[in-house]
Amino acid sequence: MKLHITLALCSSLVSSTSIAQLGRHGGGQRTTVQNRSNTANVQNRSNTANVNRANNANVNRNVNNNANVNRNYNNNTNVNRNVNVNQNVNVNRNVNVNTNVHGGCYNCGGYYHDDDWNWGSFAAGAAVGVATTAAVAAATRPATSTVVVAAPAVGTMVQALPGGCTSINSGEAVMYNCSNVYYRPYYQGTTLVYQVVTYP
Amino acid sequence: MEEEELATNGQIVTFFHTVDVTVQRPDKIHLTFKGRGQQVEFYRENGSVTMYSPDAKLYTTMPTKSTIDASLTEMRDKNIDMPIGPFLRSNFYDLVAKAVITGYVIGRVKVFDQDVHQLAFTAPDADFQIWVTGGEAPRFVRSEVVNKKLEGKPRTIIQFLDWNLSPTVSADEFTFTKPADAVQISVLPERGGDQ
Repeated sequence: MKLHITLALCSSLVSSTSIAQLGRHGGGQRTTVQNRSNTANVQNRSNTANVNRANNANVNRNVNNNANVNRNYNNNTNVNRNVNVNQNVNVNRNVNVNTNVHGGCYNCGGYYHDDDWNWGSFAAGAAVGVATTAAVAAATRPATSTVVVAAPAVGTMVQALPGGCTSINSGEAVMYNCSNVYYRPYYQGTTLVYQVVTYP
Repeated sequence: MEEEELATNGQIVTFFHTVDVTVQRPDKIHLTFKGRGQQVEFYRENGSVTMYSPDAKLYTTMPTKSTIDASLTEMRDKNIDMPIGPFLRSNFYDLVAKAVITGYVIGRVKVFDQDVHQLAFTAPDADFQIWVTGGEAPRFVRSEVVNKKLEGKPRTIIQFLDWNLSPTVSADEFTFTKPADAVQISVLPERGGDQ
């Protein structure tokens, strides 16, 4: 029954609307439009409540559906957990092995060289910067979660030995055997460094 | 002390260390470097420079010239640079006056609640600022050096703490006494390679 009433009301409204539109198009039919619309309003007064209830219920259901969409977004946060892949930054530890690739000499070219002083040496940190250029490997995300630790290349400079090293004497020089990677200590500037060398 | 270094990925990385400085002019220095997980003792006395790492029990000794100034120049030529070096010289003012292009008095500022003068200088290869106390006994409080010639323009910052102009210095302060199990090692050549 409600459906029929609704349809009837809708029909009336459509009729009213169409007339109103005609009135707009025709112009000068304001009174007709007002009268018909008044009629429609009267009909609406009696039926509006039912219509609104039905419509409101549907709207509420839609809102609930939106809530479900939000839950889906929350699920997406699980994707962020994949950031755990960043734990592979542990690779940087190995790369720190490459830190301080010494071998240069700031201002040794002498573009500015004072007999007593050069400002490059004043900025010794920077001086070391050119010479050492801390090597940090690109923290690329590996395709898999497996981290492969490669042995440092010969010539690599480090400022601390890995654990588990044993001291050995090779002729006149002291060396350290760290899991079959051999390091020889030097002073570079005022810093003690260890250079990866081939076993003599 | 803060020292910036340019990493191979283009990022500036900052390293910290402290230096305990004891100087007795004209020829005695004892420095204790602590940073990057290691300690290095630096002695300069009686015509020699010695660096010693007590943890690793490694040391190196080399002959040097008679004065601190000459010795610092010599070490610089051997690529043994020390950011604190210029401040150990007896002629700091003369050297700065000879090296700078411009110099400005920025004004009076506070550094850690201390009233200081901020001075700014430019030089061919570095811009630097110095913060000094005023009065009859001015002291360095801070220095910042920006190396313009290096990629990334890394900075070296020194914060001077605990000045003591009347220290009690022990007789062996500047003397390196070699431990029986200490091993002598070499200084790395300037441009890499093996010795």
